[in-house]
Amino acid sequence: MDLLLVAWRYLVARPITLVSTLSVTVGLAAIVVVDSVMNGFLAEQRSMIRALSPDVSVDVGDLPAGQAEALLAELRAMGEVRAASPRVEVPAIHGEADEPSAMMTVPGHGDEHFLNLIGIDPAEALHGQGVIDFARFLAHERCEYAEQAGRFGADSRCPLRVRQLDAPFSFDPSDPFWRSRMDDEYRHRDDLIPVVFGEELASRFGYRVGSVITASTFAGDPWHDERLKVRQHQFVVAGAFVTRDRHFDVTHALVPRDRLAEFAGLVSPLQELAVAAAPGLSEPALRDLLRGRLAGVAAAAIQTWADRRSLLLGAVENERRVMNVAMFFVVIVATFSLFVTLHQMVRRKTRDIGVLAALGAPPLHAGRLFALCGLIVTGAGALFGFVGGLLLTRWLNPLLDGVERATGWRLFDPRIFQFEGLPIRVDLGRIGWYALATVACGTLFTLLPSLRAARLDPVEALRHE
Amino acid sequence: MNDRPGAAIRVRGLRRDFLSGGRVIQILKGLDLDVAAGESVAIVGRSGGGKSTLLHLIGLLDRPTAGTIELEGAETTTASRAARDRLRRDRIGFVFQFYHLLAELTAEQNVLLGAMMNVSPFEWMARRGEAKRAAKALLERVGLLDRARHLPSKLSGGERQRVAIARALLRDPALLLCDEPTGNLDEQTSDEIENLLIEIQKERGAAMVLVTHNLRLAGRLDRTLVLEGGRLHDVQGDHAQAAAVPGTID
Repeated sequence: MDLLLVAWRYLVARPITLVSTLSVTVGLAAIVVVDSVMNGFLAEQRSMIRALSPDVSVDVGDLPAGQAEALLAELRAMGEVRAASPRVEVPAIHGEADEPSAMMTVPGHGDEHFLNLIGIDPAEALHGQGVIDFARFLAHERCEYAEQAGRFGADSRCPLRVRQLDAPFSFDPSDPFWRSRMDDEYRHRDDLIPVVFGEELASRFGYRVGSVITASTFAGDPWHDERLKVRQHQFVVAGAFVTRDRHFDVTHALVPRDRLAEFAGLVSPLQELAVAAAPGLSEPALRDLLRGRLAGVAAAAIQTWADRRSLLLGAVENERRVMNVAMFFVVIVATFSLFVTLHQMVRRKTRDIGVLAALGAPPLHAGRLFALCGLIVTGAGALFGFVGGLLLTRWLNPLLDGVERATGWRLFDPRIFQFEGLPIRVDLGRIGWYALATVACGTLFTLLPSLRAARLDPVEALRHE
Repeated sequence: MNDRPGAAIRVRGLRRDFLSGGRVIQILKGLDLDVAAGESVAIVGRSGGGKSTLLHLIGLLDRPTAGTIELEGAETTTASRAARDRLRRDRIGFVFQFYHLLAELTAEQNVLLGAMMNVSPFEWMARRGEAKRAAKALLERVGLLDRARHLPSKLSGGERQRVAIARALLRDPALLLCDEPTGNLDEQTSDEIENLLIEIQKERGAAMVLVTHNLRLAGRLDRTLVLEGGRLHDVQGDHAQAAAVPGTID
């Protein structure tokens, strides 16, 4: 009991212990906030990187068409598969209808890129029935907000809003909707292929629903001595999607799969099978299952979306690892002041150690006394830091909004990150570990001065000046 | 030195060597001492002669190089560390020259410290009332009940020593060890502390070994021993012999 009393009195009598407690509190609170923001940021990045990728892709480009169709049927029959559909991706270059097509430079990205046309089955890709919940990515909501805000005038409609949410590729030049949006020369053209662009790309090129563009691609198989032939066709913009992966949004466009196969002159539209896992089944589990079950398909041809983007995801994970190392140093710095405080305390209280021994305290008593001081400081600091950090994550966005309103300063440049606010995702498990690591570090820094106190000779301690 | 019946302390052949600069220095050279229960003994001697070392050995804070120390008939030099700690806590009370109060604790908390030692918070909850009553009674006895909640920094030197005396007595020790208890006080306060110590020692029937340079104080105790050449010499009331010791104050 004397330990508690003396430890408590030692601590409250010294403002420096408050500084130590505060440093642990601020250190851990910073860790909680930074980790939660980093976690939210990484989750957003993962979601961006994933964009419109299916859970698992099966590359069937080398298989005969019949075998690929049989595989598709087999996949659709599996209980572990929620949905499966063919997917085609064709590189192209594009330009205005009356201008020659050219490679394009994506503003802000530097390099020149192809436009990758992704062929999807419109009927399968909507309302969660297909492999990808395509409707989720259409720029519909954004358009509604903008329209409600009157951004396009009272009677004007968002220029990239799809005509029908449940039929994004619907195109009928005789429909007054389309007629009102197209130049006269195209109003009779029912051969135009509807295309849904990434909103970023469409905006930058000034495309709007009804715009007609020309896209070119190459056909032929150079491996079998065929000469590549340029194929060109005109497309009509039917709307836009937003995945928030800017790179994806400026380099991809969606078109009906059959029309794309026709445009690219593909013998078989089955190049790749996109597969969605049944609820409760993880993507790697489905991949491993398919690798075991699909005969005639090489294991390397069956990959999750994360496998395909492993380098980029690895970079994201690397960011997290670097962050963890930085966090570790924050913990060390936050708890190091405790070592200094306790070290000084042991020096100043050496004679008290002798007095306690004279009152019958065993040799380890003094060690326990200073260890208790350290634990109280670390424990209180960790508790306040944990709770304070969680409260801060809750109020961080309103706080930053307030700062922005007051000063005009914005943390995230909206041209780089399309975040409405700081993406915060609290991982209680991990910040719990950080709190434990803080307490462990504090205990470690407490240990040295405590051991020194425990090893003091009581007679020497009593004589200490 | 004769054996005494009912001895509170019985020391035989006590030796304490220290290493200094590679040389062995014998501070105590086979010293004998008997103190009966209720007896008060003053030890005088030159500075650095080993008086405090003797007190630390008898108080079980230090272990001798050779010899035995019996406390109330129990041999302590071969006892376990825990047993020695227990004996020190329950049967010995220390009073130091510089009071050695814990600066962060109030007078009452300083007195209670001994009762709290090695007691869990749950045990303390059960014992607290009784311990606080005992502490208050002691503070009242030393005339400081109204200063119970004061920190040592708010007390005078004499008041601090009174608190230290109360602290030493809380466990009702069989042996009171005082290391120059008036050495840091003015004459008037010294007299008050002397009176208090002697009165309380008699009241409680505790044995007392008091190290001092003050021959007047030494003369008020039952016996005066001179520590010289690493051994104790009983001056048997020979004031002149005690006064011949360098550093003593007549």
